[in-house]
Amino acid sequence: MVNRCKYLLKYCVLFTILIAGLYGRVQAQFQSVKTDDLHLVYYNFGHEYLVNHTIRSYSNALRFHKEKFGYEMRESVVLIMSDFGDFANGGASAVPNNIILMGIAPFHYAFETNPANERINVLMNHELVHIIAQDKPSGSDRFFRTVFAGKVYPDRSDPVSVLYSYLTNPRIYSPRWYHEGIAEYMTTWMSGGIGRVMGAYDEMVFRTMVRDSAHIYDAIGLESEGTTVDFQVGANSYMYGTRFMSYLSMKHGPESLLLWVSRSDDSRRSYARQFKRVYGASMDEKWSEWIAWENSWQQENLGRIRNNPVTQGRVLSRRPLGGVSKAVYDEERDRIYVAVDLPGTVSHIASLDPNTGGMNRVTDIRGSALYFVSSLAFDPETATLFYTNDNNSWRDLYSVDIESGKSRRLIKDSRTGDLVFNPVDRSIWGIRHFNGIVSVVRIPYPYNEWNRIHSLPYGEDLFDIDISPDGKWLSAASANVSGQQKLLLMSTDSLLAGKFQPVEVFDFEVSSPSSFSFSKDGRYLYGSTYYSGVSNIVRYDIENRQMRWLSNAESGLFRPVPVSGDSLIAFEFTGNGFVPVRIASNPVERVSAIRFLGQEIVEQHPQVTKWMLPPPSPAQFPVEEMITERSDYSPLRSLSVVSAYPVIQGYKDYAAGGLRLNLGDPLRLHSMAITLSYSPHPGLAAREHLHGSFLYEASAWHFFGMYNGADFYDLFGPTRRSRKGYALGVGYKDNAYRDINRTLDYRITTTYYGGLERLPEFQNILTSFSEFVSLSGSLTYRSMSNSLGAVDHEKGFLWEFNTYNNYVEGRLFPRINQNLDYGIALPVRHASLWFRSSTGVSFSPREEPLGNFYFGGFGNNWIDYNPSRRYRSFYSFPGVDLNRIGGVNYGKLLTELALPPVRFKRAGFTNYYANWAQLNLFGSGLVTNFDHEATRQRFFNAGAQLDVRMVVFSILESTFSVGYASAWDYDTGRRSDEVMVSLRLLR
Amino acid sequence: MEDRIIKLIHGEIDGVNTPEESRQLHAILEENEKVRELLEDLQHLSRRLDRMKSEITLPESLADPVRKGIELEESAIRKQDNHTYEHNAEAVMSQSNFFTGKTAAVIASIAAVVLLVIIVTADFGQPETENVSGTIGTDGVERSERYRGTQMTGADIALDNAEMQQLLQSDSFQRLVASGELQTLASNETFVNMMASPDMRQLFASVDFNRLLASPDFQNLSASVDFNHLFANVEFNRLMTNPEFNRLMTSPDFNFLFANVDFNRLFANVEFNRLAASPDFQMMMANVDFQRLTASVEFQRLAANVDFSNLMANPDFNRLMENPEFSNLRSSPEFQQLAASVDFNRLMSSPDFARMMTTPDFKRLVASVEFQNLMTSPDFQRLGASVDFQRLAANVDFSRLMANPEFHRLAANVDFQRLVANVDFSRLMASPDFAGIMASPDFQRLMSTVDFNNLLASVDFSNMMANPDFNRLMANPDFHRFVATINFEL
Repeated sequence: MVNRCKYLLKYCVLFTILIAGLYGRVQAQFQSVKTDDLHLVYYNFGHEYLVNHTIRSYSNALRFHKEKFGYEMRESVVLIMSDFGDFANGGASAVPNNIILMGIAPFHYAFETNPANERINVLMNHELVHIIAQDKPSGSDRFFRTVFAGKVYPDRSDPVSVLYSYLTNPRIYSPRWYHEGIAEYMTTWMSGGIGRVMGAYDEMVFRTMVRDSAHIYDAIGLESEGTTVDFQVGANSYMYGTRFMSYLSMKHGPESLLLWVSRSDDSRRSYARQFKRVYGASMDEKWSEWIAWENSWQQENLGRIRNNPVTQGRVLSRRPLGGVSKAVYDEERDRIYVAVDLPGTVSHIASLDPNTGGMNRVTDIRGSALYFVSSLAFDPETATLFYTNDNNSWRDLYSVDIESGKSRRLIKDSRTGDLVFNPVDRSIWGIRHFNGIVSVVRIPYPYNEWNRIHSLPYGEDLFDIDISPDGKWLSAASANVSGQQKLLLMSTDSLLAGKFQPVEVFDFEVSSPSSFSFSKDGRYLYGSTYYSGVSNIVRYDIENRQMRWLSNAESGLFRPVPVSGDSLIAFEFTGNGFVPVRIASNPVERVSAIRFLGQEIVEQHPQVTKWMLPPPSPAQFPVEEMITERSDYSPLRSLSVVSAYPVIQGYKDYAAGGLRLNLGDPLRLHSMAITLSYSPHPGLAAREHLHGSFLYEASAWHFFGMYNGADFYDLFGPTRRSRKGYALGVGYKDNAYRDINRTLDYRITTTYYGGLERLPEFQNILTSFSEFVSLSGSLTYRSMSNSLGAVDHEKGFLWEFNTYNNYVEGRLFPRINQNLDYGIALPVRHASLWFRSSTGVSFSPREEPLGNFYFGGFGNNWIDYNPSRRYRSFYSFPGVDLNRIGGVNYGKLLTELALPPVRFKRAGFTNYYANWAQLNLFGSGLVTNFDHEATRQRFFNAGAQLDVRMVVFSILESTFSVGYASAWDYDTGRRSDEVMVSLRLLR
Repeated sequence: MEDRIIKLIHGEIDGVNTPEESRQLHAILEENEKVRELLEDLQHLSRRLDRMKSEITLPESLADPVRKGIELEESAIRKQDNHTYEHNAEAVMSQSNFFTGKTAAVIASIAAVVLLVIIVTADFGQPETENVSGTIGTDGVERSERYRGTQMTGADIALDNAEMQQLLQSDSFQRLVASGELQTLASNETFVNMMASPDMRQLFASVDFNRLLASPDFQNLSASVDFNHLFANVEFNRLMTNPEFNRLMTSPDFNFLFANVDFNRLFANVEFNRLAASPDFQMMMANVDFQRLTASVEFQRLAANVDFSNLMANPDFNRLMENPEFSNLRSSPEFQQLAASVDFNRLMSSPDFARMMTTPDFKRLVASVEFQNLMTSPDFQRLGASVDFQRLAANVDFSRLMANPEFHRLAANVDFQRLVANVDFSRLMASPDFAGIMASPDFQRLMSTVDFNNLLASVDFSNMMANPDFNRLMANPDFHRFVATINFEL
């Protein structure tokens, strides 16, 4: 008893110290500015210049939305301003609290997939639609929010929370295309016609699908297959959603969309039922109607294009390349280098033969970006290709030797792209994004540092730069806050002298001057533009100042590479991505314009032009008067009740009912869950009726405790996590190293256990002691990757070292093990072969349960929330009972064949459908107690597991798994079988 | 509606408004719906006209005569205007209105209709008009029609301290941050206090300080290693807080002296350095009599005397007395005057002087050409006569600094000399802000820290010091607040 008290006391002291330390660490990491409707948080002095502008833009958008949607703000929005990536991005969620994450970097303009006007306005317009579409409550929603003390976030450890969540926020259970569609639709008109509704890229995508008779997905197929097999992945949700919404608005008026999306007292919870109520037809019917209309609309557009001779390029590649970067031409080797990203292949730089279309892999791109993949520049003298990795975050500059294929990192987090090589002085020039500002930078040989040449004012962007062969001129596309885009020329000498004096070459107005690059003789600039609504190749004669069109394309031609005087290589958009084609380099006489769906809406429903917002002027929004508080942000001080709801749990063989209380801070940096439940069954001892647990997570730290711990999934078995006794523990986990697809993680946890009757890790092993302290740690290195459309990792390497130490009454029982996995991608798309090994040794007496390793079973529960493929864990051994095999040392090897997944175009209903199914085959061998023949055990097994990914309530993914395995005891020859059926909730 | 507003609307459509005019128009648009409607109508009209203009693609055979005809007509109008102007200004107005107003529009409309009729009736092989949206130049390239509302301009965006980004974006500043030096200092309480001190803020905000930092001299100097070493020198830092030194720095004499070649040669002189480092010299410099003596005209004259120098270089003073040179000297009027002076006599009887006179360094120094030239220099003589200099000469820190080789190198540095002669520098030295900073215990503590000295010694920091934005940043209270945060980063 005295010992127990000492242990507990030590733990309490440890807890206090850690929490106090944590409190100190998190102080003043964020700055907080509050108005009545907004809680803006930022962490960087360099972002402060945008704070007031953001408040004004937010307030401007909110005022519009309040009026348009009848939205009444009951809870201010937490807006986190960040610069975590080199390109603008945003995200919004209304559960458990309203929060917007805004990246302040400029947008990328590849293929005109993003608007070029003022981005904070665009982001605020867009993200606030998400907040309103998710948060705006009906009377019943408000009632349930009161009952559950807030908006309930679905938690996999208590899956009944899904039901409560639906009752408090039904509209978050809508597909992504719905949320993105309405957000893009509203943003387009709020921005005065700049946006996806009026977007040339979207027109091209659907026009091309119609031209190629490609499959246009229905609403279910879009989410189950369309957003995974296509190189545009999730962007398809934006395109389809916006297109469908635009069609509905053209057909039924823009106000019909507001009726559909806006939750009100008399609206339906389900977005699909509300749709039927508004439009008088099911969504399937209207979707089919839209596809029929789309076919007809695009046929008309194709007809307009075909009024003039259509450019026919010679297709060079046997298969589409997916997304493509700017391409560079290696004249000496007659090769084109281009970074590609397509489903089924890890993104890489390809070397393309412009004559035959043959391709070789030069090097992999780690962290490829959708659409532009990477940024390339080429030094022909040394045959060195410069490129960027980590393109979705802070870009790194790399080089690769074309001959040897050897690559090396030159500058980490250079944050620079749009690379171009200056052959005169061997410097690289590029465009750097930092703190929301665009700078022209120069990276001199040997490329280990950059020099800022010129920084543009906020809102002015440069992109797609090139340098003339004589190194004297730099061309660039420019965009400003009005969305006006121009092609510019600048003298490099002037730039180096600190003079930024661009000469306007051509004003493209609403369309973007894309990928302009100099011809070999420096006389021309080749690029592409959607000037006619279709992206065509153009040529600018620098001396005569004349722009000539070189193509009249049906779909769209991009990224021209002049390879000879009379022809050039371009990339043509197809339904499956970009395809390299060779076209003649001769001007065409006539190029027809197409019609835009957005323009049709304007002409049929001109009221959308009134939706444009006025500028967020300081006069309208006097920020200093609006601000109610400025302070440091403290997660601990900001902790408050997020939700509270009843739960049901299992304890041993009995059910328990109770209550769960969730606390958290608005930034979701800290969270705490406290659960109390009670099992009334008389079969339990009196001291086992009450159950309690808590988990407090704060950044890398977590603190936990339990008393007679109960678990929802123990209601189903066969694996049980409920344990008699109590525990108090603390853990820390962090990254020692992090790079794209590579991490080195470490974790350390210590727990005090008391009153136990079974081992915490092994449910079937009785303990010989009731109290002990455990200290466990792990070090894990992962280098894994997969291709677009994959459902799992497809190749890579994993090494993990674990240590488990139990300290009981002055004795230590240490164990260590290590796992090593290695996988290779097979030539068949998304198929891979894996070898997974594990070895371990214990430094404890063989007869002591605490000092042994135990193996057996698949390990899945009937209803589960842990990873489905548990047969990969070192402790599982399908075919034999749980914890059936034990030993103080062991060796295990598993071979696994992951077969290509099957994707379902349509399997289910609007809210319930299957995404994919994958079958994995495996076989393994296990030997324990190498050093002791009498207790040595040798087992083999073979089995298979089929996993089916399903979606319920539109967004909640679950996995249904069926497994079968046979195991053989090598020494006795006995065989045992196991069938596993499991439903993993919430993923 | 006011003409001014109409003008602004036209300017906006034509894209010729200045940012200020755009801002004015947007302010009006926000309040006045009629103005908004007018703008939209005119924009719509403008787009239609553009479209109509581009739809009319004439074959060259037709376009050329028409273009030439229009040019001829315009030329005639211009000629007529000019001719009329010579006669009567009012008539010009009238004529001008006639041709640029309604009548011109009517003529243009009629011409357009006529051309349209010709085009429609003749078969020029045009594509279907339904599909034509716009063209560029002589190419038959059609522009797609896409609605676009009047967009905001840069003038509509109000940012705060955006100019600071020019600094934050620079590679020098980011290297400084990446080096960790600024962050190390950020955890230094003294630095944070300094940054938050009103004195420091005033200093960074002061015109003199900023002008100085912006001066090329200072920029060159701050990039020099010597300057940075000197900044890290304890004696220099102490001296900088000395009011006498500050007063001296503001004196033109001192500035002239620093610019004096001989003075600098002397500083480079090994003997002088040894002497300056000797305790005897320092004691003597502190001697009131010596100070009086050096201030006397007689001494200065004597010091300028070659013979006196030779005399002083003589190893044996007794033998010296018999030396013919000494006889010459003694007979000189200057010596006689000097010998008659009380100060000289007091000095000669001073043990300090006696000891110093016996040191080889002193003898070699006095024998050096540089010393002799310096002594004859009017600048030195004026400076030596100043009370401030005399007080300073008695200051131990000054003496130590004088003995510091880094200071000598710096003093020989042309940039430093220019800096000392710089009016802004002098003003800064004399400013209460600067004195306040120099005298503040925080600053002195900071100057003695390794971190701060590392920072001062860094080239990037020197580059930054020359950047006015950096000073604004340093004067920004918000920046101090951020620097004080534990995860300070940029």
